[in-house]
Amino acid sequence: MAREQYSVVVEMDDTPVIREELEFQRKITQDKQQSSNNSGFNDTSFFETRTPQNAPQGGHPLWSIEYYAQYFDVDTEQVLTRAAKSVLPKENFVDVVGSNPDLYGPFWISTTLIFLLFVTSSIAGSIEAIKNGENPNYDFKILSFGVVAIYSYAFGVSLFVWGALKYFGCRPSLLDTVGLYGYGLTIWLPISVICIVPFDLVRWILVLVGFAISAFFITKNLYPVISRAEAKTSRLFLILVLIAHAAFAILLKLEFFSY
Amino acid sequence: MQFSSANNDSSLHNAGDANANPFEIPVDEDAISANLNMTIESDDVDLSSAHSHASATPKSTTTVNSDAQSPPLVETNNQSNQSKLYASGTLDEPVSKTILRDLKNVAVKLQQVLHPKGNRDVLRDWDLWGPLILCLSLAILLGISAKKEQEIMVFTSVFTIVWFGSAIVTINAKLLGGKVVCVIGYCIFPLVIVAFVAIFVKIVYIRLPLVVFAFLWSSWASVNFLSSSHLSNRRLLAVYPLFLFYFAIGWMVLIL
Repeated sequence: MAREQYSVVVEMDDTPVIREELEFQRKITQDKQQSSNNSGFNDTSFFETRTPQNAPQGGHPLWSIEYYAQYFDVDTEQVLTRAAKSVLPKENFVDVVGSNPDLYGPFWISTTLIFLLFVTSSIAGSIEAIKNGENPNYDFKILSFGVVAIYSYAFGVSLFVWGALKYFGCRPSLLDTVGLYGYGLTIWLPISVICIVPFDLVRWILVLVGFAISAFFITKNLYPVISRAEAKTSRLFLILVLIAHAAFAILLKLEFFSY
Repeated sequence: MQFSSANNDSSLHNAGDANANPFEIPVDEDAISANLNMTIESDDVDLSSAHSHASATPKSTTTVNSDAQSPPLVETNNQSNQSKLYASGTLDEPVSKTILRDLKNVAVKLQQVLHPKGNRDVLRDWDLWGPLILCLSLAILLGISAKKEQEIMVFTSVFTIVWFGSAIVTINAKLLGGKVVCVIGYCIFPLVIVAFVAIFVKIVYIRLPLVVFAFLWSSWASVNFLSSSHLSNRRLLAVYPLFLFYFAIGWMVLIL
């Protein structure tokens, strides 16, 4: 008897709370759905290429795979164009991307770079070893180092930059910033291949070229965002970004291209 | 084929769902025993498609399903036999029998996945035992041939790369809107064989063509499973990570 009464009391206490939470969640998902719909409708052609199962009809929650499909809503041509525009940064990257920023490029470009660096540095290492009359010696640690270094630059630093820009009140877009850093790594793909050439001076020049191009790409696209800030001191932040980028280039040179 | 008929029948629809979601238990035993009538129905529905499939590839069906009576009914018979096997008293049988049957299933799937004209429907009730066995043997084989001080590191990184890699590649294809059956783990089989051979053969000029051949075979076998209908102009985006995945594994087989 007593137990039953208890359970009744607990129920009465609990139900209103649960209901409130549920309504709150529903509100969040509705808001998300609206915002994603808006971004999709800016460019109708992209919206139409979407497969019906991925269209956010039911407002997919944040933790479902379908929710992230909107960030992978690109076709082959778009990704290739974006990668090419990051190597030859003539126009503003935000205009290239338009209303449809993706995460496909940043993720797979950085993953490709990790494996390519591993492959090319072990080829370069074995060339060096054969020249010196030794047996080729492979270092597996380079792979795990590459994973940490490249992913933390592509995603960690871009997150940091985004947070800092938000702090300065520049209204940056998170996806644009991640895309900027991710696609900015494209230039290192050809450079890591050419860096197999066993001359140290050539490698330094190549790394310098890679640094110059990707730094130009990043600064050119971050400058309009940074200049939205009212405080002039926030411009110093651009220098910080450049220093971080230079450190990244030197890290690549010393870790992967030096034997 | 299977998804067009999925709308007709609820039990078939369930099977389709299990296919789409890699983390779901395919079919539970109660459902099978309860839906025995339903499976007979689904046999009828599938007959036409089974006919067309068998007529398209008569060779492969006869080679693989040795216990088949008549070619048109091969697929459906085999499947209902399998589900009956699971449904009837697996509790009393010795463990060795269970393990042997599972191993046999894995072997059949392996054969079908890697066969050029294999039966693409065998993975309707897919498992993770096969990928686990392949992944473990690859990691052990590469660990053996690695340097003494890096053995454990090689083992762990191969293991993680294979599991996380196949998961990420699958999620990637799903995000791009394709339907993927989880065969990536099965498709590393050629590379496992080459890794075994590479323990004894240390000459690069023999290893390189072997690895290239295994790489092409693996990627080609898994690309066959990406349904093209949903990926019209982004097929390359879904295929590229697969190539990268097998390339990375192939490279490790080559150098270790």
